[in-house]
Amino acid sequence: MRAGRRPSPLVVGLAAVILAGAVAIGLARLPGELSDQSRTAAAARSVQRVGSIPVLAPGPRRTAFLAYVRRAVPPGESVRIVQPVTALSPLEPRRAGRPGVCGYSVSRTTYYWLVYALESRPSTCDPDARWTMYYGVRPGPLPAGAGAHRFADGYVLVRR
Amino acid sequence: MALVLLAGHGLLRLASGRRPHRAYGVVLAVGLSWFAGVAVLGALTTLVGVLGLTTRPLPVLAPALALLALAGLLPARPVGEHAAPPAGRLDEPPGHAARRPAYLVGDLVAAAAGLLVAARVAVLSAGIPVSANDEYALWMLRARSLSQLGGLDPRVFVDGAAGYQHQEYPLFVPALAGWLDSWAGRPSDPAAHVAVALTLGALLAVAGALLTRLAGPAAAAAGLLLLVSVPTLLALQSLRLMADVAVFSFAFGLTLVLLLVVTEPHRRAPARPWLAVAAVLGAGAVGSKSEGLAFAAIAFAAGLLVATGRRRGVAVAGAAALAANLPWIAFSRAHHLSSWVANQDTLSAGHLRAVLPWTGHVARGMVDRWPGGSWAGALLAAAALIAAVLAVRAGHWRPVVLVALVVAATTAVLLAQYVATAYGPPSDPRAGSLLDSQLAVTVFRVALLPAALLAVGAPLFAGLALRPAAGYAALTPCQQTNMKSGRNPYRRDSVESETTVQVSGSAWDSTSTSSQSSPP
Repeated sequence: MRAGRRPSPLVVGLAAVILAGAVAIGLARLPGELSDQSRTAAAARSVQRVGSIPVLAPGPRRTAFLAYVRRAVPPGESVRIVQPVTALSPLEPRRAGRPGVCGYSVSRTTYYWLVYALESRPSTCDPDARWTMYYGVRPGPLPAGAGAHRFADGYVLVRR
Repeated sequence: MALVLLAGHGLLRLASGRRPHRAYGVVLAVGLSWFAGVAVLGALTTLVGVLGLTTRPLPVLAPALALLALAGLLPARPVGEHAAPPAGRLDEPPGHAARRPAYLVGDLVAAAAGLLVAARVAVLSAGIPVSANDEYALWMLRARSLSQLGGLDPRVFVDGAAGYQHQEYPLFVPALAGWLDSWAGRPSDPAAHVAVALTLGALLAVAGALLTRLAGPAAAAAGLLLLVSVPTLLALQSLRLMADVAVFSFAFGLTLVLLLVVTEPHRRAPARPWLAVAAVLGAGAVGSKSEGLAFAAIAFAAGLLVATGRRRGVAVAGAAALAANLPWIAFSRAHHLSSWVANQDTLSAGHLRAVLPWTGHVARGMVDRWPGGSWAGALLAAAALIAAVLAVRAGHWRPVVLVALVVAATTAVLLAQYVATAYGPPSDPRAGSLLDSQLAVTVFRVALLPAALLAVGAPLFAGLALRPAAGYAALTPCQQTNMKSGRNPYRRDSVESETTVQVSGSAWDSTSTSSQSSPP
């Protein structure tokens, strides 16, 4: 084709076929996408909540414990999270840590959810932290002067 | 949200030197203002956070955005500003005012699509709580920290002991959600969902309007349909409070704007307004997600390659996009927040040698999980190839090369990212399952940019093929070299050529060509 000239009928025809094909593919795909979107959204909206916290895999009882911790710990204060020890994740970037504490060698998915559910109360590894949340772990002997609220067996909030 | 939009409008007013609705048209002005507002909010939030100030709206952010919004009210021609062209908008090449009705139809379709999709996504998603891992582990955790803790609290953003994920990720998306939280008075998932819906709506409005200018309203309508139906974009991504929609929107818009900059006949229109938009969209891509840095760098590099005559402007726009993100880059470096993709471990020679055999596996995995990688995707890719040939024959080699480079290079970067971050060699039993898991949960969203560009390429190139280029863009690179060196690019060994075309306004128009190339 020469530059600046009108496209030939062949080019016009090919372009028209391509445009029509693109529209056809788009129209074929779109209803499925919209349907999937509606279904996904409906399922996601139906998630229960305890307080402001959605009830995900941990279930309503554990979520209620998280809601209690949120009420008990003032925003801005750090919380030391203790969970059951698991095998160290191959995705763990930290070189060292105390297993079971602040996300090290625990279920990382659960840990990240706990951190988010307690948002504005940052996670800390500090053994002297004022607040320690035992999530699925029985606390050992409490330090002198510490108080504990036992929500359920293994679900305890300790305040120093 | 209104303040974000108005601040974006003010930023475009300052950067383009024109009133946005005059420079781009109303639909583009609104859509681009949203993107500019998100980018400027992200950049400002990052800056005040890095400086140790509060990331809540008061006392810094809201007044700064309000000032920027007021800048949008500046008179059309402040003192010292060059006079505006006497007629027509800057998005129109000279003498193309007759195309306004076509732009109008395309713009109205784009606006309608954007509004409908934004409204639908907002209604569907507003009641959805944060529930996906990346939502709570990365993006919304950081958003809530910005709004509730009021700054870059080192316990969350710096200290690595507590195992917060990907602390090096940029802050534009959390900044937007955090901003809305602050106005709501508490963490607000619905507000964040509405922001995602608006971003998606703005993408459709901007993409539709830009495609109209590039390839005509029919191609734009087809492209818009393909864009909105890219698998998982609506069905999943639009419902998640993550950065994938944002980085895709910014990067896709950036690519389209650069296409406009390099495509005839727009090359003869003033470039500053579009380069200003390119800078804003590039900044947004870099500030949204780590991949955005690669996407923006690739788009600008491709633009530099093909934007002969406008390379300085493209380079300045790219530099401005990077400069807007320098505070976060400096903060990350200062606090040793290394990238999980490119770090001493993943880039060591030993690791790369060990994981290189995964390349074929990763490539197959990406193809299997490619957004729209089914038979329809293969058809679209084939159609894009045919249409690209037609477009090149019509003189539009620049946009074809630019799209091809962006698709190929972004795909290559994503592939390299998966290979480099493999846990170990194929002999390690854990490495395979981890890699497959990573591919399964990320390819469909991180590959949105190349997938959408490949899909939209078919109608875009077909539309370009119907608009033969005239003038500079129609020249081969060799002819352009001749032109720059002062020789007649159309010269054919002293033989008068039937293919000679006029380049209006250039040294080779009908009044200045020599007898060797006089137009018939």
